[in-house]
Amino acid sequence: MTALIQNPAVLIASVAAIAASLLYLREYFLRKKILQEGQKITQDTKQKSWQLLHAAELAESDVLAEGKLSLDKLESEFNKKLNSLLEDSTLSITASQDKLIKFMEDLQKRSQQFEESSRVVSEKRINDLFERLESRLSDFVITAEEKTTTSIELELKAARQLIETYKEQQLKLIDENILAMMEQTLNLVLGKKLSLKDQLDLVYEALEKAKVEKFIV
Amino acid sequence: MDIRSIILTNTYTLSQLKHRVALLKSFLKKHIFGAPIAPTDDWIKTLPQNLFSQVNKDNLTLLFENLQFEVSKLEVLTLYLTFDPDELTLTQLGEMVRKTFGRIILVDVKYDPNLIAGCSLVWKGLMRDYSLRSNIEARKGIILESFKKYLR
Repeated sequence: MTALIQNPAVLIASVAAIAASLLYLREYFLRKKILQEGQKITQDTKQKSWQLLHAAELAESDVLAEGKLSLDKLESEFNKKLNSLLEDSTLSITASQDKLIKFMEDLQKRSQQFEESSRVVSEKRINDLFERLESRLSDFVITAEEKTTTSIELELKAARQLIETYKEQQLKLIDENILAMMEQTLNLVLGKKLSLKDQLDLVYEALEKAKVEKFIV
Repeated sequence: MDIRSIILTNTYTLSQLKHRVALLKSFLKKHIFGAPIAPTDDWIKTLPQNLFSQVNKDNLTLLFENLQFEVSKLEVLTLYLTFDPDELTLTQLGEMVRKTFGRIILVDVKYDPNLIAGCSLVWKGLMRDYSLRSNIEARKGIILESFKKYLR
């Protein structure tokens, strides 16, 4: 002990070793405590997990039971509503069918009425058309007859006028030709038959006439 | 009697006059300037002999100039005839004209067969038709009417 007191280094080393041992012990116990606490927490956790799982299983059972009940109820309601809907649809379809049949009957009736009225109108129109056609045809025939008569009369008049004109022209031509023929004939006949004495007598006569008329003074 | 009167005594037509004046001039020229020749034309023979003694080389030209002048003043009657007259007929016609109108008038004869018969006269540029054609034309209406009686 005295040596320890006489040597400080040893003393310091001894103090350090003691401090280190104390720290080690403290750390050992601290770790041991933490481990124990951890084990306790794990145990608690496990326990709580088991509890939770159990509660969940219970809840699941409840939920399943409730779900089945709800499903049954929903199915029942669905069936009920479906049946109701089907009944409604059947009624509606029946009503629609009735309406359609009625509509078809009405349509058929109307169609027959329309057909009848169309037939009547068509017959009336055709009759009118025939009457008008007959009337117009009659008018046309009368007009055509009148026109033809007028045209024939005009043609006849023109033809008569043409004949008359032609006749007049021909007669005029004949008149002119008569004179020309007469002159030519006289020229031919008198030229041969008239004696010199007769010719001279005619000249003397002309001279006398010129004197009387005082053509030559 | 002057040369104009001598020539016109038996010359009636314009063609006769022109021919005879030319003939006489030619004869006189030959008679004066050439050897005396006997007249070959019958008409020259009918001329009086004293006519030739009046003419000499000095007055020949003047004589014929005066003759031409006087002849140009003569009245001419154009006669359109339907026949061709001979010399004798021309003489008869000329005499008749002079007798009818009492003076010397020359006749110019032309031929127109279209007149049929008779004649037409032209006097101082005016014509008057006295032919049968003119008569027919004047009586055209009457003639046609008489023909129409048989046509219609």
